[in-house]
Amino acid sequence: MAQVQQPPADAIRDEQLIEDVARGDRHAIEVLYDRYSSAVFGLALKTLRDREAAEEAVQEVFWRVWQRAKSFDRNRSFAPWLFGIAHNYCIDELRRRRARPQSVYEDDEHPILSGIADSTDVSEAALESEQRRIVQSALQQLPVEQRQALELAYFGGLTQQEIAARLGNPLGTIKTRMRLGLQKLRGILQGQYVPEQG
Amino acid sequence: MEMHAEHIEELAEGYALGALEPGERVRVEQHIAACPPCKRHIDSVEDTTHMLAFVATPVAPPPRCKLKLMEKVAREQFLQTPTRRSRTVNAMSMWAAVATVAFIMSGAWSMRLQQQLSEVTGAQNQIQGQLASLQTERATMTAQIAQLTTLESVVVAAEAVRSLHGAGSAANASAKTYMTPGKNEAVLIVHNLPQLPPGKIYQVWVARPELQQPLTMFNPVDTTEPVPLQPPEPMDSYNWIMVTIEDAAGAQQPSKDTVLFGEL
Ligand SMILES: [Zn+2]
Repeated sequence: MAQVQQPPADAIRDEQLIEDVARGDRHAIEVLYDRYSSAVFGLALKTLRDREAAEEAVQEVFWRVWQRAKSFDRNRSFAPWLFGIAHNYCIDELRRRRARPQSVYEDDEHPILSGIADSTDVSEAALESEQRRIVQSALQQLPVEQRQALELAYFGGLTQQEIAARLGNPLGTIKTRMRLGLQKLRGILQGQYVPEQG
Repeated sequence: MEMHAEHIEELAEGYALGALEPGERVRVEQHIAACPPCKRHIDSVEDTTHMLAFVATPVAPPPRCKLKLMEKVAREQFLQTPTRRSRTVNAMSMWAAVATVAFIMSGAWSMRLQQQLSEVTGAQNQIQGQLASLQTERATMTAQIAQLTTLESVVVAAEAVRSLHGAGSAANASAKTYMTPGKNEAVLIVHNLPQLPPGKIYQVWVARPELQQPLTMFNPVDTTEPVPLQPPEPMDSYNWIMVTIEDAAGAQQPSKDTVLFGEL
């Protein structure tokens, strides 16, 4: 970890900021936005594959953060909570769009498997870049079929049954890949320094 | 439902990934609502799952996303938090730059701020060394635009304007109330109120024969000063509006020191 830039020592922790947001501090939501809007926009772009829809998503996700800040569980980390809100929004929106008859969001247009570590163009300014680096390196240690199952669900909005049908594998196999993949990911992450994972 | 018949560990990964069939998802939600150990397990699996978000390449959203968000946040706060001192004080400082009501109505100031904001945002990408100060500046501008837009919308939408006349120690002062019948939201724009001695503050009141209702307090920093009003009942349910000088903490009954008075 020595070669990686560390967050500034005086940076306010995410969990402190979200408590400030819960008290109605507009500056705090702005700091969180500056810190994470690129990650959320990237997630929305990758999931929805539509710039306009992704812009909507960013606004709506941070609006929900503002509205739900009081329900944030202090015993958990902020980033997964934020991404949970973002992911739920994007998957709901994706499925809503797929359900529309003339939708351009045909399943076949969605890539089966995104490339390994989508890009090297990682935002340097973002405080979350350290977490990002750790997670991407952890994911590269997963067997490719586990990672494929996780990404098809997380970014493709496919259910376990749909993934099984798509890949021609038994449902139980897909469930096992997901379980093992997440267990391994967790194990790797727990053994490393992740700033927001106390 | 036999909710406790079996736990739902085997559904945890699918649930966290959003990859369950609808019936399975409902089963998980019902179960964890009543089973703390499974809730903790799901939470933990979710925390790991959402690390997957870092797979997506980060892309900076356009500045309008933040503008729209902060405007929405400011507007909601303005409407949801009546007569909070801090809000009033914030609203005051920004108005120091606003010279006339015409300027407010034209939206020119708002456009200029918007333009300045986009310039600042662009500069920020290039000048890493000045990042901190630019961010502060941008935050201030965004908040100003949002607050301005909110007040401006009340003024622009107003269906009635009522004049107030200076009195007592502020004989040269005047004011106008921009209001809409039936609405609990109005803007008072005051002109030429004298500076207050330390420990004193101006307070707005609305009144009818059996009631004197204290509203917001303010301390003007410029010759023209807008004051957001949020009376508990619609503005047109009161007969009079006035501004008095009170001790800094404010009062529940108006003092005799009235500086502005008008009929609604
Ligand atoms: Zn259980």
